[in-house]
Amino acid sequence: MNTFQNLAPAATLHTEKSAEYFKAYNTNTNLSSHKSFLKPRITTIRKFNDSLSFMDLPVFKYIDREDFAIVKIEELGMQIPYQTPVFRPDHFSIIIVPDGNASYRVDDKVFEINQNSILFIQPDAFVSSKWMSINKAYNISFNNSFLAQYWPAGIDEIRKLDANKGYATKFTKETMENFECICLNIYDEAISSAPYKHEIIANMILNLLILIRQQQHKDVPLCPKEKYNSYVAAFLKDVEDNFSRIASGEDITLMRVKDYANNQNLSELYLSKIVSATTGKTANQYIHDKLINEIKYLLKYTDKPMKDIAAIYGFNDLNYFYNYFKKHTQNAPGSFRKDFNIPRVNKTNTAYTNQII
Amino acid sequence: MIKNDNHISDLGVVIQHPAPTASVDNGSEEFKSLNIKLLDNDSVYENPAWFNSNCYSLTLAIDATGRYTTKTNSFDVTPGTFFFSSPDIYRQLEWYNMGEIYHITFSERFLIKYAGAELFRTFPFLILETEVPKLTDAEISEDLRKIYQQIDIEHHGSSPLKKNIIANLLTRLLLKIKRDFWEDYDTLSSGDKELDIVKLFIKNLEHYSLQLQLGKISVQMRVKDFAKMQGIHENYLYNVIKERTGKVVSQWITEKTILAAESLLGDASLSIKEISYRLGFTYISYFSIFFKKHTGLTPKHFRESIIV
Repeated sequence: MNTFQNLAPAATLHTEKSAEYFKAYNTNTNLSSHKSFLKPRITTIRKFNDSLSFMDLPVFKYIDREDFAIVKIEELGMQIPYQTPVFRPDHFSIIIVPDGNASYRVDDKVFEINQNSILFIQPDAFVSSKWMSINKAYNISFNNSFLAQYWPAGIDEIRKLDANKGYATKFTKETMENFECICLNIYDEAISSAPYKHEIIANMILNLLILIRQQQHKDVPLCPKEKYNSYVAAFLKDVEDNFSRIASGEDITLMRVKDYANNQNLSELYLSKIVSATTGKTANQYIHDKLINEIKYLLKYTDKPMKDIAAIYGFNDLNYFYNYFKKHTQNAPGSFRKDFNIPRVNKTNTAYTNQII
Repeated sequence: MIKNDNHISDLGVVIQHPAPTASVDNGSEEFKSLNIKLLDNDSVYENPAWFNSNCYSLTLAIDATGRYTTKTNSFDVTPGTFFFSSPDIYRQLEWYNMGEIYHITFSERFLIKYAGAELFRTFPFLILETEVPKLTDAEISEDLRKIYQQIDIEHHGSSPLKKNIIANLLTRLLLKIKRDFWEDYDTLSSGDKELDIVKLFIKNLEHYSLQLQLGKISVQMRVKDFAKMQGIHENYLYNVIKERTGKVVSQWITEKTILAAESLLGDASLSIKEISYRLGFTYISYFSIFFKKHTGLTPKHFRESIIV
């Protein structure tokens, strides 16, 4: 089943917004359609509800908020195998799979999800997924503002979690039952109209987060926590935010260290100093690395023309873009893309192939 | 006979019964859960002593009868009764029959530390209510019972984060109670004038403590200031608070200040000097002495103890 054929009519039917996306990526689709394999389409959608309607999946009535949603994935009626387009969510997601099979790609990492697994995804990352089978699975998405409104202390809990964009783990059957029980409770609350339901939901989400943190500490023994600095945290958050806004086309300027420093009324030098003290990279280096990673992602997993990629990140001169990329990776963007694509076609048993069956 | 037991145990059984009670990790523990069913105790227990504790307690009697008495109030405990008590209230508990009882005690500090809950703002009824809710609905009772059981399981578990999980479950329990019994709880609407004074005082105090922590004000409030806020004389406020809560006003203020200090000390980006100014102390040494007097640790030692 060709995913694009699957998606195209739906997408054009939908809102003007999706029509716009469609137009914007039209060239992309055309390019890929005569190749032997297709890459999941990249979208600029950030909200969970929008992503559901973009895929033409039902947005249930009980989902009445933008900042929180729980769905039973098996109820969405996805046709198996189902390849989703690439989203860049602005929310956290917890995917709990008592019984099912999927692979998720979060930025550059691939997570194989099967029985009794869970996956936790932080916002501001490229996410796409492919479902091979779904018998029972839950997707909970929420963002910071939901927790801030109903249980402000929950923000702390998120800070204590592993900072990686994606985290997947497998549980024993008993632990999974506990998870599932919490999911069902959240679901029951979500569809009810009882008072304080959001407080209780926030509370149960925290419970899930604590259980995930507990598992993380089991996997990797707790190392002495690096000193938390609120300026650095705000800087890192600003960087993520800036890149997400660029990727979704809301913003076109790449912020510099100076801008980040101005944001917080700090001097450039001081910001750079504290960033390098906590992360081991200077602020400038941090931004460059982030930028290179974003470009690499677009080169690998999309067929976006080089010119467009350069334009997104504000490189007016294509030559400068080539030089910049080469300087930081010792490889030209064109050959980087080729190197990635060629072995990909031959590898048939990689779990996450881009081939559409 | 008045027995002042400053530990958490406020169900008579825990104090005197030799049965294996829930193990306590260390002496200064702020939380305890007890499942009478597990203790396999069919005997009738009567604890005629008055006692007092520094913790809140939530008790759910599924299959038990007894009598609970405070200085002002007395009621029968029947199957399906849920009741709670606030710290510093002398009370008496008698059990005629103990089939299945769930009982949890916790301190305000425990909830703040592990769940980040502002106890009064989120659950005002805990501090202000003495009326006993009766469970009429089997569904509610079953719901609460499940949470109690989960807490009990966690409490006996060995997870490094069990306190966080327990605090999480505990807040869920309180949220459900809030939903089931005090849905539209209005903090200022009783006919009792003295009770209104207590409520308003606690509300002002919470507001004050929040402002302190946020750094919005940096003066120490006194009894006089709180009396002025309500337009009453300080002696009157003093008497009402002492009568109704068992604590004097300055003790309330001190406890709040200590809680605020502890939470500020947890934030490593603030220096102790800054914290002491924020809390309205003009000299750091005075702050250190004050803090040590009430917690047994100097601010510096306290900070080291929570960061490690």
